[in-house]
Amino acid sequence: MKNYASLAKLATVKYIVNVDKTVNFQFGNATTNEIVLGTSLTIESANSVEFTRGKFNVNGNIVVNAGSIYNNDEKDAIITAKDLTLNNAASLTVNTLVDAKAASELTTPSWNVKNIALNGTSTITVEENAALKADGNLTIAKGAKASFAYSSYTDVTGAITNNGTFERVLSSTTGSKANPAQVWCTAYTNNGTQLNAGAQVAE
Amino acid sequence: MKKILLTALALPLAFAACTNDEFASIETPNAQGDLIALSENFAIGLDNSVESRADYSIEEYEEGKLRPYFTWTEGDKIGLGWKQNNDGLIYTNYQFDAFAFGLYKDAKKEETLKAEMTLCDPYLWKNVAFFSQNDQKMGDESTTYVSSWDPITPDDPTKVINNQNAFFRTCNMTIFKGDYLVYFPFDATITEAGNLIAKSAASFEVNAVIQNTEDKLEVKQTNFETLFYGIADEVFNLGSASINGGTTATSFTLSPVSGIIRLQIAIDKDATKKWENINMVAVYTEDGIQLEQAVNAADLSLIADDVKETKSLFAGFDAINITQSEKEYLEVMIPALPQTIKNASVGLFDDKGNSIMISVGDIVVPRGGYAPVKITLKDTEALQSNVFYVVDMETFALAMTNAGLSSEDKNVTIKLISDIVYDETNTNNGLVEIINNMVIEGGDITIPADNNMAVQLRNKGKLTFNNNLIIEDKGCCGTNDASVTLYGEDQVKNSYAFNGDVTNDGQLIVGLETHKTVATFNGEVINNKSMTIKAVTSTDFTALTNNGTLNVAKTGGVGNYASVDELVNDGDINVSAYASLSIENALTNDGNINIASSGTGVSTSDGTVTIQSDAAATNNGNINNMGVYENIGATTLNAGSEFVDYVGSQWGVNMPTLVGDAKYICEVDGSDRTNGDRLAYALGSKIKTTTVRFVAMQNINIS
Repeated sequence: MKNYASLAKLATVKYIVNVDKTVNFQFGNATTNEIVLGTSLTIESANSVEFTRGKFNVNGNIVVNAGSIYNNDEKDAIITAKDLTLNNAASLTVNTLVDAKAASELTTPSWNVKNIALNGTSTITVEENAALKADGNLTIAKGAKASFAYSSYTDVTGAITNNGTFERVLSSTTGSKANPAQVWCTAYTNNGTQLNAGAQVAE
Repeated sequence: MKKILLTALALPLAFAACTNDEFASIETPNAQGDLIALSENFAIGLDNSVESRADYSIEEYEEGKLRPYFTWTEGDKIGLGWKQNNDGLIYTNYQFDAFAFGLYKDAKKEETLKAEMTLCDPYLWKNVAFFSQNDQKMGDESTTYVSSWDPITPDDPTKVINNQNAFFRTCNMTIFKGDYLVYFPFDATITEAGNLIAKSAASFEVNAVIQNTEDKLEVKQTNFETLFYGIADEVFNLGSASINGGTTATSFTLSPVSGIIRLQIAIDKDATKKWENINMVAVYTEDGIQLEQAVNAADLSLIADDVKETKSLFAGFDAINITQSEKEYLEVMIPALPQTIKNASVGLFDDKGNSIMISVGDIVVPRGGYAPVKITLKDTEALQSNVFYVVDMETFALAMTNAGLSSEDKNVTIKLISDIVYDETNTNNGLVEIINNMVIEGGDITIPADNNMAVQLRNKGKLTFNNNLIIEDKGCCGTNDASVTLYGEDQVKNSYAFNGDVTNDGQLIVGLETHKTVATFNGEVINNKSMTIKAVTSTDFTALTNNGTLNVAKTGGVGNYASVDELVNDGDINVSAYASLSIENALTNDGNINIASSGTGVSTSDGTVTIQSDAAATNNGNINNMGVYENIGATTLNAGSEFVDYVGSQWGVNMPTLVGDAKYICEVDGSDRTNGDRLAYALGSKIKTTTVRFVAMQNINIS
């Protein structure tokens, strides 16, 4: 195991993942370590990219052209980046952090990004108890899909425009007490398919 | 005659009997005038019979008066250019085809009969002999009027053909009324209003004869006709005619514009050398020989500006011995446009490629006359076996074969006195073998599509090109690009030097598998298609522009070395394992450079690009380094460019200078390097990495 944390250039370069296998980024066993992981991250080819453990600050955009990208749901991996773009059939899964419970505005998001663009047939899924923060807009292209699970919390500070599929799960299929997904934004426009309910518009 | 006024842009109409192939006449959009309809039997008559007895007589010939001995046959064509405003230009290019001769009254040719035609239906001719597909048949004044164009059967043996009094018809149903410039031979390429261009060829197939000053007139006449046979059609002729309707136009005459260079070559009585099996002569000058001249249609004068030139005229004939006699000499005729050929030389060639070039000073070729050039050969002008003058592919092949395989200690020079279009059918499947020291100089060598020139240096073979080499692609109509392969068998003894320029639009291969070769390109090399340095080859370039693919290849486990002073790459350069490309002065890369790995893990076996100490490399494109990039000098990666440092590759000595958003991509896998793993290497403070590309790593542990 190499100690890359001492390498100042970690934060200064771009990263491209071009491996047709599962790739995971992690900080050894420490969950509190934090690095700036370059000026951009592009996933060109990968079955999946997992952020396993630690806090990853990408000082630029994340572009996923293939495969799936997600944070490990047991090891408190937190990712911060600028714009997030999913192309083709790429997918992002926003998992909950360790010991999560039904998410709220007090919950620490596992993904903190600016604008989110879902292109092609890409998908984003915010899992149960997970939290996502998008300090910008969420745009869902025709063919793409955004799903927000029961007990999840999503905060989009800008507008949500849906030209594909927007799914907000309002109740658990297993639980007895309803705890609908919260998806907040400042403007919501639905031009596509909306399942259950649209986003919530904050005043 | 019905007068029809049409706009100038009206499409010309053709008679129903004319096929599209026959209908090559053209009216330019600029033509403005009255169109007249022609009857189907309209004809224009060439009347060169006025001085018929003297037309091709030896007497006038010896007086220097040129009268072409036309032997019109079916399919011969003349062109008619309408003068319109008599401004010196022509505005149409009507094609007229010969279809009939006029007749003499009797076999003694003492009186010319007048060709006549009745206007009533059916149209009837008399005193003409029509061409047919298989035969010429004659008309009969008293009994044999004929209908339409049908051949007529001769029944009066006293009538003979006057084959200088020909008749021509056209497929056009309408043409412009007025004055015309008439010219021969017809040029179907004229499609625009302008000056007619008088043309003359550069090469001829002729007859040569041995003349004897004591020959009788009949023999001289026969010799003259022999000499003139075949080149009469190469003499450019001009005339004038007026067409105002009717069934026949005013008869016209054609006068030669070209002159004839009359070579008379004798052997000095004291000479001891032989000039035997001579089968070609040439007229050569570095000052240029005009092949085209514009014609002022108003007065039929020539405009000698902006002309197409060549350096040589040559005439081939059946091999003949020049006899050593005070009375005899070899005579050959070569047509040329009127001009002064300055500082001319006359070349003699035998059927083995031996040759000699003899300076004769200026040759003044008169319009419609003869330019006698008399040479008396002395021993100092013996045919040479170490200098081969080449005028065409046939002589080039002869020279390459005979010179290249002569004694290996010999120095031979092949002088191309004209450009050569290579034809591998003149060689042993394109293979040329050279065992001695050969220099080729003079005109360009062009290798056309579907031809391969392979040169093998053996024994002490060395080959120097002081001329330009042009390798063409397959173009519109070829199957394969042209190719040139140069190889030897010993790096010390065998070498190529190119002092001219090389333009490759096909395939150029230096070296061949196990054959060892050294090649030096001192001129400019432009590779637009495919160039490969093969085998154990050392190649030096002064200036190389690659717009295609340049392969510095390997053969088995052995590579090649290429050194370039100035390299501009806008294509692909592939440096194989074991191969090396050295930049001595400057590299500008606007394309792709790929440096291969041997896969052995030994860097000395990898492909190598070396920027030498005084050299500068500028990358505006992509460099993919899987081998070794040895930057002893300086390398700049400009904005927008990309350098990929692959796993296992090496960057040596000086790190590059990056400008703007230039990318230095370092690929990373899980493998260790001597001083750490690839990610540590990529993120090292001295490496100019801008992008890390993970290519084989599954767990990226950052701790």
